[in-house]
Amino acid sequence: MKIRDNENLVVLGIFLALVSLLSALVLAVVSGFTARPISAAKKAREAQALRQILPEFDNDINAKTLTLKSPAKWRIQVRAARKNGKLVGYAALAVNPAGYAGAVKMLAGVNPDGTIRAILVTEQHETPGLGAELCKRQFSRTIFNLTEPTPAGLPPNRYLDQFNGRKVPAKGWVISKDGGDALYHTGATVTSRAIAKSASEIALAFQKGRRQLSKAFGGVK
Amino acid sequence: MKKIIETFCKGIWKENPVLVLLLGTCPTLALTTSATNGAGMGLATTFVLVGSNFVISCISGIVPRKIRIPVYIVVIATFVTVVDLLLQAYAPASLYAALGIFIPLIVVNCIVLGRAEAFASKHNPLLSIFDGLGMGLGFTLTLTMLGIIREFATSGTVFGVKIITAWTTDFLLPGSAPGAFIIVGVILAVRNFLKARAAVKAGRLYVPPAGLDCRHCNICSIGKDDE
Repeated sequence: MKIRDNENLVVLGIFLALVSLLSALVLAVVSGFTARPISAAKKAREAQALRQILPEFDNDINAKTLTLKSPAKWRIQVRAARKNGKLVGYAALAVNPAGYAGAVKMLAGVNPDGTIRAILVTEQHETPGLGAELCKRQFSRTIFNLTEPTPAGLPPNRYLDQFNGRKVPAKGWVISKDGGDALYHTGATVTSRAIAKSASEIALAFQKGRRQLSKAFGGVK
Repeated sequence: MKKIIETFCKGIWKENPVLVLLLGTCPTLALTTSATNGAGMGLATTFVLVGSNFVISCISGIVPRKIRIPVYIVVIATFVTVVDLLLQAYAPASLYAALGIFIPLIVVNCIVLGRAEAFASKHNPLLSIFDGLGMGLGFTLTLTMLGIIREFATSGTVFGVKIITAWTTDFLLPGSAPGAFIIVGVILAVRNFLKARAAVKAGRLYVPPAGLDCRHCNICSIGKDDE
């Protein structure tokens, strides 16, 4: 009898198992030779983000991570950047679970005095064209500057840049719709709130965690 | 040779997977928010389609009929995982960030399984490859076109380049799912209108594509007297 017309359950089961085994083999090979490029790409992305938000540094920034508790009980992961042994800034990672559609992950460069230097949103699932635009840093390309080279540095974003260098109020930054003074975008209130809240939590955690920071990294001056 | 060209070309317009077969509507609606996303999803699907069509055409002679669907799905899922890994390793970060969560969905994209069952399992490997290429190209072109329309209507940009620099506020409907439904609907209506008109002009009877005909629908006759 031909295998095509076989209806014996055992034979069918063995056939399916063989096909699956073969596919697992293929996947094992592919995942074997892509493992290194994938982790390299991940590292490159991360390093690129750190270079954008921090001043020039030369230490191995991942050598030590401190977890700070923010007022809202978030765990904020802090790493220190040094140049010639001198502390030049911190990288702080905060995950806000209350985005419009899932978590908003924020990576902030923090000055040694605890103020925010620059903010990047590294992961978000906000509404395309609306909330997502608030989290994006992109040089605007038009038909008039198409051939010009990309300017160096971090592309501006007024929703993310508004906290830079400012002292955080005791209760954190609140968007103007809720009675505070932080910018918000009509129609993207939830995203605006998430950004202001994340920035506040990071700044407040640095204010609260001075002692921990100086113990771990040698001080906030 | 003629058959190969015919097989290749039919996917682009005559049997366009999105506009005629109406398959793969989920990625069509969800992913065409920008031209780049549309093109990226189209190319990833094309790769899977060609690979799965080839393998399935090769093995269809020895796959027991009773379990052909699970076997096809395993083959397709393998190709999708390979694409996922390759994209993670070599694609630009922004493209993977946009497509990442949708790549696994290619497994259940009806176009891929549909072509495996309807074409690859009944034709030789060479023809199946060209069927996959044609269908994939048709899918890619349609998704890119939709992406261009939706991105331009939302923010005045195409492939991230602002065409109308005076565009300051975003118009959100075309970028959202309801807007995608409306745009796809309008394109389908225009396509069918043109086809019907051409058929009438040529003196032929217009036969709407399967699933799009009026035979089982009585909306038009509501309120009319029975004739």
